[in-house]
Amino acid sequence: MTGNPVVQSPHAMLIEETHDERARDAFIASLREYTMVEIYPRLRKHYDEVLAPRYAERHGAAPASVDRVRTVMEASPFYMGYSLLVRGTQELLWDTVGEAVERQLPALIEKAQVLRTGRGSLTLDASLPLPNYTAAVDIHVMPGGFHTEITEDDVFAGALYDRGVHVFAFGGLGPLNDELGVATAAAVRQQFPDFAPQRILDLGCGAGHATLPLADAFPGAEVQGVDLAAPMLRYASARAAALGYSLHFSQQDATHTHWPDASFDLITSTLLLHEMPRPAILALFRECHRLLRPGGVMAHHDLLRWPDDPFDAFMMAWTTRHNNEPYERASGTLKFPDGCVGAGFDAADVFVVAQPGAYLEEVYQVSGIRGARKR
Amino acid sequence: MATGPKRRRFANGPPRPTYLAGVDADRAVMMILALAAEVSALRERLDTHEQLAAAGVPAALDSVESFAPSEDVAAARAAARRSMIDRVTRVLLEPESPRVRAASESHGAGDSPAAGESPE
Repeated sequence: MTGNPVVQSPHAMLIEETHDERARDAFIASLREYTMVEIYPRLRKHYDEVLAPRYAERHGAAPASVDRVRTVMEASPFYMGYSLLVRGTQELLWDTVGEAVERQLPALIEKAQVLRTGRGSLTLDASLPLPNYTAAVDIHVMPGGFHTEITEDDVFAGALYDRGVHVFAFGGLGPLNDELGVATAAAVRQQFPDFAPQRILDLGCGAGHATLPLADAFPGAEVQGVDLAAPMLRYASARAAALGYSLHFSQQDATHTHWPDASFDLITSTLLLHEMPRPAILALFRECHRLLRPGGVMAHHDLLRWPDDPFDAFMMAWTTRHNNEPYERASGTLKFPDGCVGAGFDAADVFVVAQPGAYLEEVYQVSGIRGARKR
Repeated sequence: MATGPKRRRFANGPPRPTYLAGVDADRAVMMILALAAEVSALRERLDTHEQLAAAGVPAALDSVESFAPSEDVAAARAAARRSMIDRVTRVLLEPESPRVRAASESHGAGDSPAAGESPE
């Protein structure tokens, strides 16, 4: 049991917390770890040893579909208690970290203004329309989502997410929340050892957790990050500068950016696809194909497949019902090679790199990097 | 209390699902969870005072705020949090509710429904 999120690497944009704020964070991280690492396996065991056999006694066979598993589970006080606990922890997380961010928001905004004049660039587009799929639901039950601005030059969502996701993952994303981005870059290097991209684009970059590792993995390359959400981009830009990086961030829709054809060698995304509905994912692949130069690579870190086992599939969809992530299944069940071919890639150029040791493997057993190289 | 811009405290999207017998039961549990975070923070603050006292440092506000626990102290606190969470959530995470056990007994399931179903 670690449950110790205070190991997050400090940087100029990370919120400062009082003794008691740190202690509340630690409690929430411990709750997250307890439910994911201890309770989740017990729930599975209870299903296998008690609930499924009891169902089989009455119906002749164990539940064979997700709907039947749902009927069994939603009648289980253990599952409902677990779900309430995980949902309650999630709401408590954002409200607790949010209080600390709100307290120091004016100072954070000033710091961001100073930091981002020093290095890299930030281009915002207040007229960019927010797609309905993002506007309709605050994903992760994070109040305001990534896009809401509560004041001028706002960085609230970025500051909230940077600290919040660290507590959420009980430190499992690494001291800079960058382990998935490091893994994406490593997968590209492993797959294409001689590949030396000069221009790199990170889609749905958020706070830039996965953007900075690209600059580390490919020194000298120009790195661009795009996102729909201005508060994330302001924060990402200032955070990158605070950590000594010169990156470029702009507010654009990843499914139709401003750049001309053949502008990039490498295009990445991390945990983006599972928050997008299927048509938007396919549009994003087409945009990747358009933006890549011949020989260029797209690489997306996310779910690799949807589980076949009805219990696993039911639990994988937990976030859809309980954590405001309505599109998780759309990416999980996507026939990735078909999506790539539909966007113009050749089926022979599609690749998959599984990451069995990745974050929260007890729950997300099937994550990794998928992509394709343009001919 | 901060006087600057105010954050939103509830997420946009579908209504919170109902988990227990009704939304009010769910809300009460979520309040207990927030209160448990306060108890845990209070307990760590007390521990900070004790650590400072053991080191002969007066527990003034500055010393409390800047206290950095050693690895051993951090590990002991993590273990204490885990134990407290285990106690607080025991009933909520009971594998079979008493009602289910009673029903299964009255149907003459022929076994001991409570046996072998402890979470350990």
